[in-house]
Amino acid sequence: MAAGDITKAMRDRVRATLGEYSQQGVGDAEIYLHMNRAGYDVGWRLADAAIPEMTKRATGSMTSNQITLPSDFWRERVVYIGSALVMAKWWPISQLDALYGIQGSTSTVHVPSATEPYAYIWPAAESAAVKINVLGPAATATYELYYQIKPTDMSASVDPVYSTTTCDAIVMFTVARFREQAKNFPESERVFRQYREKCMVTNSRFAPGKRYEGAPG
Amino acid sequence: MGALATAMVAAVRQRIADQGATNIKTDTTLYRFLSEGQRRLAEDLSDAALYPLAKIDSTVIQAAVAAYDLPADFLRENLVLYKGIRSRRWETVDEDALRRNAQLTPSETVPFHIIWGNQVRFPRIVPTQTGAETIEVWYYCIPPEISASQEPLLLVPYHNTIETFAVARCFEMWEDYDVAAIEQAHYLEECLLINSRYSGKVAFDGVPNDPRLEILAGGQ
Repeated sequence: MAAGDITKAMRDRVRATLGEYSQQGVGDAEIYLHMNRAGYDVGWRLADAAIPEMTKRATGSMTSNQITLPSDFWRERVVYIGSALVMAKWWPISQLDALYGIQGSTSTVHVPSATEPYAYIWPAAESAAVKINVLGPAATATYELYYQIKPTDMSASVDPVYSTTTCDAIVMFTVARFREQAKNFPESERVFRQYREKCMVTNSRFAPGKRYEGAPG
Repeated sequence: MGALATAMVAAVRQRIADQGATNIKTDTTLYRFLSEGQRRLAEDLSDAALYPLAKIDSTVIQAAVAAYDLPADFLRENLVLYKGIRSRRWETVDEDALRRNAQLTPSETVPFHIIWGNQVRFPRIVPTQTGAETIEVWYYCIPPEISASQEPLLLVPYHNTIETFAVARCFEMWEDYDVAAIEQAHYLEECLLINSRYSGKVAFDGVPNDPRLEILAGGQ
């Protein structure tokens, strides 16, 4: 299977559902535009556990207690620090002075250290890039950053990063957008409800705190 | 420059079926709607979702000067540092408490600040300067107007939501208020989704579990 064939198959499913088999009615570029917007919508909508292909781990050494955001960074999940892989606690910017030694704080309730690191996302200085700041460990300690990636745009030569089941949702979203474009708003809403329900069902398989298992009985 | 911005205009035009610019003659109106949408997101989303708008404004303190201009793109502050020490935000109407209450006596090591008149002011402090000590305002900026030469500050995952806002505005302009309301509802739903990723202390995560049977049956 050549690169882009999965995308083209999705495109053709959209065409079939719309009854628009010709480029006369709908151009490929228009379909890909909606499909790519759908790729971001499902990324917000689905639980991370439902889209493992969108999660990634980056490793390296910090520079001055900072981690540069990867180019495909969408949003953070977890940062582990050092060879012992100690998890850093995300901390709100507005309460940084609750951490000992930070911004004049003398409170000892939360003391950043190599074994109790804290992290936040903010520029280090004026005109500096937004980075992940880790308080506590050595300035050049190693890290493992777990994060969600931005999807690569689909095209005739680029396949979706999403799994096949998520691609089904992307096709539904795209169809809803074309109904909207045709000003058939009731039908657009009906298809969008189906899309929303599919995402809900997918998420229901991954609700927090419960495992997909059972005891004999 | 502007490739993302022009792609957003194309996306809106496609959604409103105006690819030929027959209804909305120039892109200017659409850029204005998109810019408004980006500004709305800066207010509708939780702070953690807005890290692309995070900035620091650093100003060298001048001796005996207690008030400093806010940056031109100031939206709201997250915290203010006075010589590296976190300053406490105070309200203008309660400023007298800083005089009356001994527990609230401002000093260079216990600074308070008031934001008023486009300035950040440190009341009842006469600043000293021994070198290059600074005040820092950590703030969220007002994103600049999106245009063919100015990309949106918010990342691509947010663009669909901004476009939905602009689409709603287009239908409002055409006095199709029912459709505008539908699009606005989509916008709010998308904001809710984004905020759900960041609100609370529990991350939006999950492990496999049994689905609820009514969901499998097609209910909600």
